Amino acid sequence: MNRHFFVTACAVSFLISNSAWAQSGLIISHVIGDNGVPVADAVVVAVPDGGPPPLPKSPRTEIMDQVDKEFVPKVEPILVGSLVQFPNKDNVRHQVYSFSLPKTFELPLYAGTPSAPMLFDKPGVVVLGCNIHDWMLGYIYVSESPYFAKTDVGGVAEIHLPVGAYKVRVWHPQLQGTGESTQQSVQVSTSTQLSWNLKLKREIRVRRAPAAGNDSLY
Amino acid sequence: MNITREGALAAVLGGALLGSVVPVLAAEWHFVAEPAAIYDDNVTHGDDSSDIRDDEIAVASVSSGRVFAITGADLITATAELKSAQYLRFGRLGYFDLGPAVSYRHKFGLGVLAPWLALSASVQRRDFYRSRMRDGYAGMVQVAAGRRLSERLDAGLGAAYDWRISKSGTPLDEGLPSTVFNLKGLNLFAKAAYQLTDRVQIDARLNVRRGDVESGTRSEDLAYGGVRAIAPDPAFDDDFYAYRLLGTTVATVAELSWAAGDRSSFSLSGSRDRTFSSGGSSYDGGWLRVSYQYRY
Repeated sequence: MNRHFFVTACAVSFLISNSAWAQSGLIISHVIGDNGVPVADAVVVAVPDGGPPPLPKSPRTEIMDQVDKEFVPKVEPILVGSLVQFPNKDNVRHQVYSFSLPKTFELPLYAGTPSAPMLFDKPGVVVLGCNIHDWMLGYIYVSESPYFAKTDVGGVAEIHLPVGAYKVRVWHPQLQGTGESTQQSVQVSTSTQLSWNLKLKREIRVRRAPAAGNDSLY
Repeated sequence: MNITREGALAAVLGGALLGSVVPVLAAEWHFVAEPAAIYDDNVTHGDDSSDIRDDEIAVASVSSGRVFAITGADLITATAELKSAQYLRFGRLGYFDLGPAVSYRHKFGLGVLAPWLALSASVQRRDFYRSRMRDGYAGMVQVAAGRRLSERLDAGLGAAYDWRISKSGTPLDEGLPSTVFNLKGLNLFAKAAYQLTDRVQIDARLNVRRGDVESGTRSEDLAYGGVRAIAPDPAFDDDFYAYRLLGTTVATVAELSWAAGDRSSFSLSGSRDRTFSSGGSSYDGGWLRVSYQYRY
């Protein structure tokens, strides 16, 4: 009994003194646009100065839905090496594709959920479209680091990560310039506040709303 | 209103048939409603200033049907369309349209920048409130091609053949036919749409049409040669005549559209057109249109 208690105490002590939990830090990011309005759907990525940690042995499976002829969520950050399912929850068929270099693909016209999820094994931004519904536009941000988060409607994102030195950057679909231009070097402590003031472009995509038929007189 | 039962029935059955094509394919509903208010500065298509009449028109149209994605590149849309127009001053010109329409679109490749080809055809039974010689059928077949040149700019061009078969008017002594509104013509057009913002879009269209045109006058003694049909036209006045010529119409249309949401928009559009007939007559026309579109 005493021996068992001793081993347990040692193990707990070791975990407390050495585990990531014991050294956990927090980055609270505030992202606003140059008009002062909080920016939702911005992806904040923290990369350890020593490089990203090894990828998990079993890949995560993420979901990019299609609901009411839109991609949901519009922006989905994932870890490189993850699998992504593209379930179609509409009662019409979609043909999802991407021309983006990190993942060029085409899912032929389908309803329901394609049987095999798709592997995203290169970091970068993957822009999604549907060949049937041209207005559909979605983004998968493939992060090389497991420490990332997406801002909410208040422009706030929280990343829980080990304390240490990081390069932290932000990306948004309308960002002018590259995500690298937003990079900050940060020594993350138990709670680190960061803020960005992003310059955003106007979003231009194929309009879903109808236009008047001007083919005939009236 | 003088809607013939067989005409309306044929139009409804045609729309229903088209709407039920290939029921095994996953199809989505198509529904568009569009009320509009229009000012037309030359509803008579008059040449002489004394023959020109203007009017305000209220139009409501509904189009409903199904869209079939045959492949990722091929879409077929089959709809039934209903339209009604009310004229403020010349109430006899009010009409009621009902008929099927079908269109096919093919995209040559993947993505929003892929070029496309579209074929479409429509037929309507058209009944006027109190202008029997205008009653009849109208239709159009069209081929168009285009592509989105950038995120903002979309352009296309095409050709269309339109026709209209109407009843005879009251014959005059000249021995000319009185089927003034039997019209057919070939159209060539180019159009472009530019997105100013994610909500605001401007459209422009240039249309050149060669074919039958109809005009109106108070004078029975027409100075123009080339009149192919003539009949009294009490829709405008007891001493008014409508006549048919061969002519060329050049029309420009511009539209400003604001998306109120994903499914609806408000539009302001205007047109100027000039028609040159082979008999020497020419007339100008134009209209201004305010409309609301809702698409389900």
